[in-house]
Amino acid sequence: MPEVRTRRADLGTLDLQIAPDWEAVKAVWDTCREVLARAGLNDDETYQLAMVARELLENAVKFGAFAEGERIQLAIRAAAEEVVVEVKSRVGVDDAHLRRFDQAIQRIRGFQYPFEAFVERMKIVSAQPSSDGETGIGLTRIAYEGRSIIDFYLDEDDLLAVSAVYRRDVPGGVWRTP
Amino acid sequence: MENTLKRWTQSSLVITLLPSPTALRLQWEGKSTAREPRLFLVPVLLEAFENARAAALPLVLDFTALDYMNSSTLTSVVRALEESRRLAVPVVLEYSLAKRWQALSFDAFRTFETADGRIKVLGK
Repeated sequence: MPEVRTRRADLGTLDLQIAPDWEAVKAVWDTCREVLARAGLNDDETYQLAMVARELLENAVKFGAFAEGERIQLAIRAAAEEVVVEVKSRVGVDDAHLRRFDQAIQRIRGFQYPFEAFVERMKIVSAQPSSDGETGIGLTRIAYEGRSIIDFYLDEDDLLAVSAVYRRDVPGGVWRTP
Repeated sequence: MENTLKRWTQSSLVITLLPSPTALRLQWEGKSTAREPRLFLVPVLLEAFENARAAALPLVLDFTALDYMNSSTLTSVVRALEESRRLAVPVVLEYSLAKRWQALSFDAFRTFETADGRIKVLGK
């Protein structure tokens, strides 16, 4: 049984500590959707934000550097105006992944519409040799399908906190399609 | 299914190769959530493309019954389009307009459509 510890699951609030393990990540899907539904989000929104959580968690597992027993932290805060999905995980501050991560987010922000960023990434990936390494598709998918703005910071414990913000009060989320 | 040519299963993902008079159909069902989906998908897709080429038929990748795919799976599908070009097999991506995530994802796939119809993207 995948190890997921629920610290808090109030109305519109979820805090999970998840083992950096693929099966544990898969297990949080239903929990995310239930919490979001209780906060009044519709089926499409709960699906898209569970996808956002899932993509962030998959990235954390793939590219994290975890000490023995260390866990990934998932927090969801669903308020009337916006939903914030945040995933915290351990990476090295000077890690090359962190620099590429920053570049990937800046690249997405450089597009007027996330659709364009998503298409550009797909075209780049289509020309690359087959691998499941860093492609950047997951981040552009969060912006485009998840209708969310991505940001990140390093907290006081050098944990990488990646957040995706979805605006409930803007039709279609923060982004508009061309 | 009686006329199933072949079926592959990985965790909650089931892919079935089905014949039809006008195309081979590769039907995806369930969720594709593997960490390295290409390890499972590339051999499946290659076999399907080879079958389609041998039968001189297009290959339909039918995602309408798929509930979820992670971004690594998306990557494999994008690369499958390149493979279709290499093998000269026409390919059709069918998706569900009723599933919002599919409508969004596959709308982006339309940029791979070709004027000669070698790659088509069809919402149903």
